[in-house]
Amino acid sequence: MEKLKKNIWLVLISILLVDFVLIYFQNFYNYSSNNIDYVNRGIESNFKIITNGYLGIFFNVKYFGLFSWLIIPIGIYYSKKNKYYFFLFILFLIIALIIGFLGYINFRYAYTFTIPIQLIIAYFLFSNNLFSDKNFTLVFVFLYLAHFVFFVSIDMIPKYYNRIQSNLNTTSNKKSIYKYIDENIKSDSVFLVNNIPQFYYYTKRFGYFYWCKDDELFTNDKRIKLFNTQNLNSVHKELKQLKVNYIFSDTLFNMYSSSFHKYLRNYTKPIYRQERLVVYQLK
Amino acid sequence: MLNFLTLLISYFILFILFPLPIAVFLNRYIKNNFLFSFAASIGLALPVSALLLNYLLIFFPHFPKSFYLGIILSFFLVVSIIQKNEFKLFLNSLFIEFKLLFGKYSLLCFLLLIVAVFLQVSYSILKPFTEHDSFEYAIQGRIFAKELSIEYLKNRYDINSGFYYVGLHGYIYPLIYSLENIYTSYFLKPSDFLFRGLNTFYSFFILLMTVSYLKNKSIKLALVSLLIIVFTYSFIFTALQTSLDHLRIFLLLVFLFFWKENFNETKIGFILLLFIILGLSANIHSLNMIIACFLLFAWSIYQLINKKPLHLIIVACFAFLFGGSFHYLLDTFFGTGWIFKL
Repeated sequence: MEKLKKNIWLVLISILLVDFVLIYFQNFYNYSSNNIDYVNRGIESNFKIITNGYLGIFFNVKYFGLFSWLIIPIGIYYSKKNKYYFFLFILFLIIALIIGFLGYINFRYAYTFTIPIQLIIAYFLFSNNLFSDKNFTLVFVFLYLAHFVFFVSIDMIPKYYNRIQSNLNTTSNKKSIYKYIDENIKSDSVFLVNNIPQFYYYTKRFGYFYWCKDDELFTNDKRIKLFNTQNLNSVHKELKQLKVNYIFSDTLFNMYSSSFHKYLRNYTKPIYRQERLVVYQLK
Repeated sequence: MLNFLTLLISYFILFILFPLPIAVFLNRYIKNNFLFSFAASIGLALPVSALLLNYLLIFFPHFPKSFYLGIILSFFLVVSIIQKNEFKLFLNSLFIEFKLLFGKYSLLCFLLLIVAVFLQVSYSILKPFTEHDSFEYAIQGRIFAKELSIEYLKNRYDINSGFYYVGLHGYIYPLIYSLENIYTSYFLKPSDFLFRGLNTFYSFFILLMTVSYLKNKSIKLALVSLLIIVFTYSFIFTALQTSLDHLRIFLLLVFLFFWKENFNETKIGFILLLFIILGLSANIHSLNMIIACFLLFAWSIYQLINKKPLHLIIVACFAFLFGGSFHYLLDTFFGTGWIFKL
């Protein structure tokens, strides 16, 4: 510990160098991938799937900050002091790995531990008197601030601007697609809704819930794999049997299933579109 | 304007009046930190209300809406009456601690808190509702409020709309929507503003609770911790969304702080409280359920190492189940099969 205190600035610079490498390869290096879902979630390469996904709790620098991975050496440090702490640390690593391997696809799962981790790091630095150095405290907080401002400006602001614009157009605009559905489509019409729960929230129409990525259509008593073993003509007949007249989908979601996309192109026609949301009528 | 007033009144009831009896009870196990007791209980009353509604809709379905609201109100009233002697002392101590902490800036800090609440209520009303998963919970919450019953079914399919609830988690979060839908229907068209802004509110509660807990260790540590939480990108990213994340993380943090504060405590009242909180956290999301099982295991091992009586672990397990994790047993055996479904 005394060694660490003496070389604290050297340690800090080394940590930052590791972080810059992570930031560069996680956010600015171009990887080629055809998996649109993985690209949207920032796990489209082996490096990203490991550092942002499986081990995201420690190394997803964008979401969890520059210092999260320090929980590993700090955990080892506390483990040496007490057998029960060692047990807790091993348990934490097991949970972290379970979350990482089962929930690698979404950073929200790993985020569960971010606040406790940050608090343990702060407590470690405090209990070892590193915050008694005013300069260290200022630099430490400044690094968090700089990291935060950087990612807010390159990621959050553009994302939120687009999302808010899109939502204002979709839900409050007089020509909103949901108003269109309620006002222009017969009340006894049946929809196939491709994983857009907003449909049920904003309209009064009936729609079977479907998700093209898993190819599952949910009815009262069964789940139907629409495209599993059938050709497109049989799918069309099956939907007609279910009395489906319209399909409500998002053009981004359509990309998740080539069969579904092909079906939309050949057996339906788009009748109303608002940004990515489209109402298709079955031919 | 009516929306804004209804929301302010409901916030006052759900985040000030209802938490007070819980805070008084929590304070029995927290030494000299009245602000922490209050900050932790601010976010507990709403999930406790939703848990009560959950049990009421399972065991007493199809009653008038006023029955459910009446029972929830009565619960908090009874808990308050039982502790009426400690109420005054707690409130006095709370104000004194606040004054001591902020000194001559007490009034200014109090006004800043009011402004923060005001901004958050405004944000709840103005914020566009965009988050895919939250729509699913909201729709299921609306279905619960309409049907006024909860049954465990293999397929959670709404025959009227065709909606299929794919969620795997407990019902407390959708039931917060139902609760709001039920009580706002008395004043105006049912609204969803509380539900929309819940995550932002719980972000604020996380900060409040963390600072109030750490201030007794060191003011500097409390302030640095506050800054590093706020400046973590995922915190603000999540805080601005309609989501259940900060609710589940808040409950997990209450458990962790409360456990850390009373590491060796073995009073039955404390164990019941601790594991009801863990059960609530588990009910919100399946991930929390998995983490909660590990935490229960870790706590039990500690009791066994220290040769504490076995019945404490049994009490903890029952409290954990009653707190909300019982849902996953019901769902596994009588409902969708939870994570074990084929």
